[in-house]
Amino acid sequence: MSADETGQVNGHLDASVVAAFVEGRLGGDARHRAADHLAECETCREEVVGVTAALTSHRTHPAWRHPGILLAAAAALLLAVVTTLPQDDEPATPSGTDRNGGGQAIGLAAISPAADGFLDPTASGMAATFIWHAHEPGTRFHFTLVDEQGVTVYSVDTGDSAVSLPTTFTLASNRSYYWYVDALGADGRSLTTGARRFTVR
Amino acid sequence: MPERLPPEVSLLLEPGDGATRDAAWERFVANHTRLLLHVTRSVVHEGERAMDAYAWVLERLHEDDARRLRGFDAAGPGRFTTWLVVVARRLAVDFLRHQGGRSRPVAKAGGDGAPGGAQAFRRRLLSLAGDRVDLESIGDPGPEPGANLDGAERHEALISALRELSPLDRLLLSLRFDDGLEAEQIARTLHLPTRFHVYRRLDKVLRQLRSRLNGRGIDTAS
Repeated sequence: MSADETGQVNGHLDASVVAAFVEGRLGGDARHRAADHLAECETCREEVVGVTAALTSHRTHPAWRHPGILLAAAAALLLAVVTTLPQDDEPATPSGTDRNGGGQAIGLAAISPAADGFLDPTASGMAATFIWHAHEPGTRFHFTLVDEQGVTVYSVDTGDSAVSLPTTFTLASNRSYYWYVDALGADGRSLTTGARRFTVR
Repeated sequence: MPERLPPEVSLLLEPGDGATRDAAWERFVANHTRLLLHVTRSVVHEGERAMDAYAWVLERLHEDDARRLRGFDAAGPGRFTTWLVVVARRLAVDFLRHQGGRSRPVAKAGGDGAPGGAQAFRRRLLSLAGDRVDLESIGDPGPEPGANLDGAERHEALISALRELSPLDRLLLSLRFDDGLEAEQIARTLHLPTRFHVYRRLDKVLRQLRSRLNGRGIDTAS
């Protein structure tokens, strides 16, 4: 049975519409129609959430519950670690998330402050500085700093891979903040580091 | 065959001799078995039953000359593997129904899941639209004082105000207050960068609701 013009079969979203919605590939009217249906249909919402969760966890742990594959992967990893020990000044493993539907590790990584780390700008005498790394030249970045309530307290666009807060900007001691960087690559793909928490000493 | 189909699926769906199609099916199983097993286990959690479900899903995908796989629209916007996950998940749910079991509703969150269905959902929305939103305590605040006196009027006003929201904003509210999802899950489902984007969007939508209810003579400040 084929879908009608709203993308539904038997009153529910067609599998192809669900797949496209999950991937973020539905545009314009089709996306609004799907969202309109999802807002009212618990069954289809459950499906969209379930498919998203399954894809996310599969991409994170693709060798889930296959001991042979896990052992082979572990051996390969051990060999890679022994033969290629990272230096202290090497960039962190790329961990940026592709918001265009990939969800796999690609070239954007938050460096400093580390996740759940501490920042002490007064001790260093320097402005609080945030550093990240992008593998792709020509990338533009949007840096965002939010407080614990999710309110944006500072944001800036830059072509550099570091931002220092203005000297007039003060971070509250013993408070946690979250920072993240959105990147727009030269090929139009968008990435994000994901939010990282740090605490001000 | 369109390039967007994996090669072994293309071979499986093209006319050909039995040996070629059998080999294509074996390749399809080999290439997608991890994904299919992962999906069936996400629906059927018991170990041995999950394996039975996986085998059942494979049989349904293979039967009638791979009829279900022919349902993929290569010209559509979605990827084959994502579409396969949707179809496999539906088959796994069917397996449970045939077996007389029930799948665990994956959409429900833990601590602040949504009880009471649509009525409780709208009651909480009315209450939240009338308050400054405390992002750390979005939950079920209980019934409004005096709700029995003008409940029908407030309900109608809320329904009307909800209809004026964009479909994506209504979906956001359904995911948060009807399904009780956590912000992180909502961010992934709606392709928002972080949960903070979810919080900010929720705050904005609830302020819109408050404004529209006020415009309909519903005093949200009381």
